[in-house]
Amino acid sequence: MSETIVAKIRDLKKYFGATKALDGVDLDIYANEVHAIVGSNGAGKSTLMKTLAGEYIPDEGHLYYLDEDITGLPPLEIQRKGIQVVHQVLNIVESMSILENILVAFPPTKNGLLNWKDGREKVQEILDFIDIRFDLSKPTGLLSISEQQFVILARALINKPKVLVLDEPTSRIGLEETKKIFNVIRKLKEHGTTVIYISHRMEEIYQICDKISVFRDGLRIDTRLTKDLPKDELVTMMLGKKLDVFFPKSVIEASDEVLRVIDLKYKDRLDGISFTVKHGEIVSIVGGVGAGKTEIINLVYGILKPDSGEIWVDGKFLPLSHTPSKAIKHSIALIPEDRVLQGMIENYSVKNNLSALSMEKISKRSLIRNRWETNLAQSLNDKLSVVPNNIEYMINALSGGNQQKVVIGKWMAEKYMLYLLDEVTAGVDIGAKSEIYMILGQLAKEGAGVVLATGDIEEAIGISDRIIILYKGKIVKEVEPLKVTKDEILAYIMGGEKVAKPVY
Amino acid sequence: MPNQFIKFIRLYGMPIGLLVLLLLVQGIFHKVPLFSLLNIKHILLETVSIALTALGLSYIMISGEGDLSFAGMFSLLTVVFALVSNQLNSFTISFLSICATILVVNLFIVLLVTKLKFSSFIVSIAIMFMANGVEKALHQQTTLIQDPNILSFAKIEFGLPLVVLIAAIVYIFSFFLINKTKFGFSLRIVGENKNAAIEAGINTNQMKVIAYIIAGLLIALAASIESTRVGAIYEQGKYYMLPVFAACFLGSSMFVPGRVNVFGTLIGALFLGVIEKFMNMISVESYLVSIAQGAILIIAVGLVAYRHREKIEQIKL
Repeated sequence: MSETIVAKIRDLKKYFGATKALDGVDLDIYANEVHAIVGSNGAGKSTLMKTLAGEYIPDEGHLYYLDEDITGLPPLEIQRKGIQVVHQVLNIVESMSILENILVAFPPTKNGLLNWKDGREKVQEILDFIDIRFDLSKPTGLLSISEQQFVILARALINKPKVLVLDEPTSRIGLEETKKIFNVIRKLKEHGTTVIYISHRMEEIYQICDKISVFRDGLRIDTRLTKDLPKDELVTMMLGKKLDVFFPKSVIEASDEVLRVIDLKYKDRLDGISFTVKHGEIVSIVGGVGAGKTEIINLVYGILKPDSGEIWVDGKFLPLSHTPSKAIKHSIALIPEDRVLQGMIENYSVKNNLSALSMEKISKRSLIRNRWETNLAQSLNDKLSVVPNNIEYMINALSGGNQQKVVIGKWMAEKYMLYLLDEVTAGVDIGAKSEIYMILGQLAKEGAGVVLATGDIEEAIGISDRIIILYKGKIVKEVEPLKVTKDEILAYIMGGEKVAKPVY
Repeated sequence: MPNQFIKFIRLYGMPIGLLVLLLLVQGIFHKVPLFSLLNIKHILLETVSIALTALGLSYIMISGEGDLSFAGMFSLLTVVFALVSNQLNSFTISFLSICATILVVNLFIVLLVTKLKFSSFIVSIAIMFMANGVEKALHQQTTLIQDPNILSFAKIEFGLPLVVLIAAIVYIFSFFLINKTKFGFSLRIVGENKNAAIEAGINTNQMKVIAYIIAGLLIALAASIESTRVGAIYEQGKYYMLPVFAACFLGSSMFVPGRVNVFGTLIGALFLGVIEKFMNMISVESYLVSIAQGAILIIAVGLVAYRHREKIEQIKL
């Protein structure tokens, strides 16, 4: 870390209507450092980064880069100066090749016409730097999400930025890929680049970042050296209050089976999966990207049809004609992986989303009674402490964590027997996470079975009664959280060989 | 080896398939000389206006917008062309006046779309109806172009009719513009992923304005050519709606699935032109031609959806 200040943010204010997204932010960014920006959803992290990138123009305040005032400059200028942002949403052009995607902003030309050959060398250099292999002429739409993440990273690196902002770079990628990203960050730091790292993942921040800046309610609360900031103090700063219980202690006497899966096979994804879940149990299914977690969930819910195998719910056999609507009738609930695409109704209000499954409850003779809907939605909203507490808001105005609470909320209008959750806390801030864990604990206490597919090992250890470890479509091991360490689970997720020390 | 083959089929499968289809048709109906030199010349001549209008629409669709206004504007432009040429007896002035007309309209549309975030599709439908109304007001009965000089424009030939050569040059230019220049690259990004374009620093509004201007000029060119070729005005615009759309969508099923592209639109327009010529030659009723073109459109859209569906499934899992 050096003493040279590379960028300064002074008294930055940005309002969206009545919402104060940034309420006077001051921040110094030094050269050669890896600087974490943490905060709950809605704290202002994304807004700050978009303003830095030139996509938003601040209402008040200034941005300085190497002593030059860059406030209000358009994105292309900011990129030319040396600030690059890798956003959370991967904006790739699907039909175009990897080469074209990486060079979107600066396509190489010769005599006025595009000349892609010229660009190949430069791109290959960057790909070698990142340590990833690509067939440059492959259409980017055919890549996996993880690979697309690297394309976007290459896009940012091709301009040799002095400041690189990574917004949730690891939320969609596996462990091997995370290692690569960390290597890139280390190399960049050696070369004099500053990396700004936005993430909800505490362990990653403590691994790779030198400094942590905590944001809350549009303001920077404090900046501290990572080594001088213990985790619980960090969480307290983020939430503004102490978080007592993160993982609820489960005191469940489990009883009879609510789910039994026998020798489930699905294409080349699942190769004979068998497990059971009892009433009152929380069972986690952990595994790497592509291990088969989502497939299991979707098969039990009826979105996918198994090639062979049996699924029994509460003693009843689910035939091949099993569909999601039948699943609901069998009292199975699903919180899917992608809350935007699958979980919520994007352009509707919180109220409509919360009442989406309760049409019969809120209608009389096929007409929806507005007051009944409002009452139902409001009571669910209060139970979940959704912030801001206004059910008339459009759901996409809410932060990710609160959106997820609404997605879960619509299932709370009824008592279901089996809850299937796929990456329920992905992209959710720490405050909402703990609330969701409490809700799950409550559901289990009331007798439901909970199946949680997750890539977050800490979460699995903290909240489940049992952990099922998946590797390449097979169950490698079933363990109890108290009897196993995180590293052991990690080892099984990566293929079953034990390692003696941490993976990064 | 098989990988190369698959790539080839993916890329050129559709146009080759269409060609094979046409040759088959010729084979079956060998008494009807579909591909004689004279017929090919006629097909090209008759397809020019549809091909140019489809190219104009392609620019708009590549930029990410939709348009139906051309159906109404086309007729309106032919009427204006006729009226101006009968007054002033000059091809150039007539052409420039209809250029001005459509540029004003298109700039209006693109302003509403970019600044006021209106849906381009809906605005264009409104313009289509308004253009229809204005057209009816401007001509009380069939308007004939009286100047023989202007009428002869369509008959000039350099081996092939001049208008065909003009259309060919315009298409070749467009191919290079869209696929081989930075402008075309940026335009395609704007149409496919607006956010990616913004992140790349592309001025999306500016791109759309340029696309609409080029489209307007192309439609004006098509309308002038059609006016001089036919000599009399009837409501061509409505008749063009289907083949122009069909050409663009058929073209989008080729090469890169789901993306409107220049070469594909050309092949689509030619294919539809050949089908129509063929149906005329075997004396099929003209309404059946529309039905055939509609069916082709459905098949084209279906093909795009089919190829797209594979891609989407691949990404999800």
